Amino acid sequence: MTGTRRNILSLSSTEVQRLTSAFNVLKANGTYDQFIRNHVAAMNVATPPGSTRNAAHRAPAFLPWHRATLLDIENALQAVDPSIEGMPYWRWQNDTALNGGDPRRSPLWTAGGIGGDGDPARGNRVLNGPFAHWVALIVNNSTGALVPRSTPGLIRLLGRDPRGSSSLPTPAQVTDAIDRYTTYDRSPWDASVATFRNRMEGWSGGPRMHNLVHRWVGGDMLAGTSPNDPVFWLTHANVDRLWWVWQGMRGVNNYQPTSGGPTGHNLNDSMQGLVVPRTPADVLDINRLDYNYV
Amino acid sequence: MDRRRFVIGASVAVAGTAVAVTGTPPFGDVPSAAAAGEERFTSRGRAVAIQKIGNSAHAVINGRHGVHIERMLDGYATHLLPFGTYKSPRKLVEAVIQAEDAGLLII
Repeated sequence: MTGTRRNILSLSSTEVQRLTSAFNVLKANGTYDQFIRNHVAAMNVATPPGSTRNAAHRAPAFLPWHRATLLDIENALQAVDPSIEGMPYWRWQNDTALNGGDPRRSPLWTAGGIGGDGDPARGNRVLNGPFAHWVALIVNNSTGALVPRSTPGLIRLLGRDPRGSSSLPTPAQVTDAIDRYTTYDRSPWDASVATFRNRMEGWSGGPRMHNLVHRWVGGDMLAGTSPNDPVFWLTHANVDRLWWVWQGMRGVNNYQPTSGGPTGHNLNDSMQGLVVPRTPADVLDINRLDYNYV
Repeated sequence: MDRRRFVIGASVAVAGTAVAVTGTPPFGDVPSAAAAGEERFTSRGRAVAIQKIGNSAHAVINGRHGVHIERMLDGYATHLLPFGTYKSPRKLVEAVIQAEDAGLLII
C-alpha cells in the first residue's frame, strides 16, 4: 500500500474518525496489542546483553526500527480501511506556540481527536474520545508477562506527570538537531554520543525531542508499553518525518554503522521485534517504501 | 504475522544479579561487606533494599527481586521507565514504585 502522511491537525473530522475507528478494529481483534508486545520485546533485548542499548533504543537502529514498525501498523490500518491515506503525524514542536503557551488546548486532545487529558480524580484515566474503553497491557516485572490492567482507560498526565516533563520540544530543538548534527551516529553507538540519532532520540543534551514528548504526555507513554496510547504512532511519525528532512540534507544513505557496530544495529542486520523483518538498509529511502510526508 | 519469541536479555541480567544478591556467601565476612554497599529505605509502604554492583544495581522490594538498574550518562536508568535517567538508584526506585501505584506497571 502507499501512504500520504499529513499533519493530523489538517485532517477532517471524518478522516480522524476513520483512523480512530481502524485503531479500534485492530485493538478489538488483538492486532494492536501485538505491536505493544513487539515494542516491549525489542526494549528487552539488550544489544549486547549487559549494555544499555536495546534492539530499538539508545542505539543507531532507533530511527529505522520505528520507521519499520510505523510501516507495519500503517499497513494494518489500511487493511482495515483502505480509505486511510496514511499515518498522520503530530507536529509536537509547534503545539505550544499554536495554543497560547498551553499545548493541552490543542484539538488533538479532545473527544473528536484522540481523547483528552486524564482525569486526576479518576486515576488520570482518559474518559472521553475514541479510546476511552481501551484496556492497556502493562508489564508484570516479576514474571516478564504483559497483562491487562485491571481497569479500563488509558492514562495521560499532559505536562503534569511527576515522573515526566512539563514542556514539549520547541522548534529550536528541532532546528538544533537537524542543522547542527551532520553525523548520523558514531561509536560507541549508545546514549552518550553527540550525533543526529541521539539528539533526535533525546539523550544528548536531554531530555529533549523524542524522549521529551514521551515524558510530556506522561502516564502510559512513560513506560516500555508506551504504544498503549495511539499518540505513540503520531509522535513517531513526526520523528520519522524529521529524520527524512535530515536525510534530504545529509543524504538518504548516510546511515551508520555500516558494519562493526552492535548486533542488530548495522546497516544490513535484521532488526528484531517487527512484524515484517527488515534491516536498516531496507527502510532508508521512503520513496522505495511508497509513502511520503506532506 | 511474525510471532518470533525473543531472548529477554534484561531478564537474564536480572537473574544473574539475583544470584549475587541472594546466593549463599562462601565466606563469613561477605555479608558485612555486601551490607556496606546496600541502601535500605521505605517508599509508599514498600521496604526497599538497593544493592550496587559495579556499574549496575538491583533493588529488592518487599523481599522480591524487583528492579534492575543501569548506570547511564550521569544518572541511572531502567527499562521499566525508559525515557529518562534518575540522579540516584533511590530516586529511580521511588519513581518505579509511584508508577506501580499509578497503574503503569507491576513490579
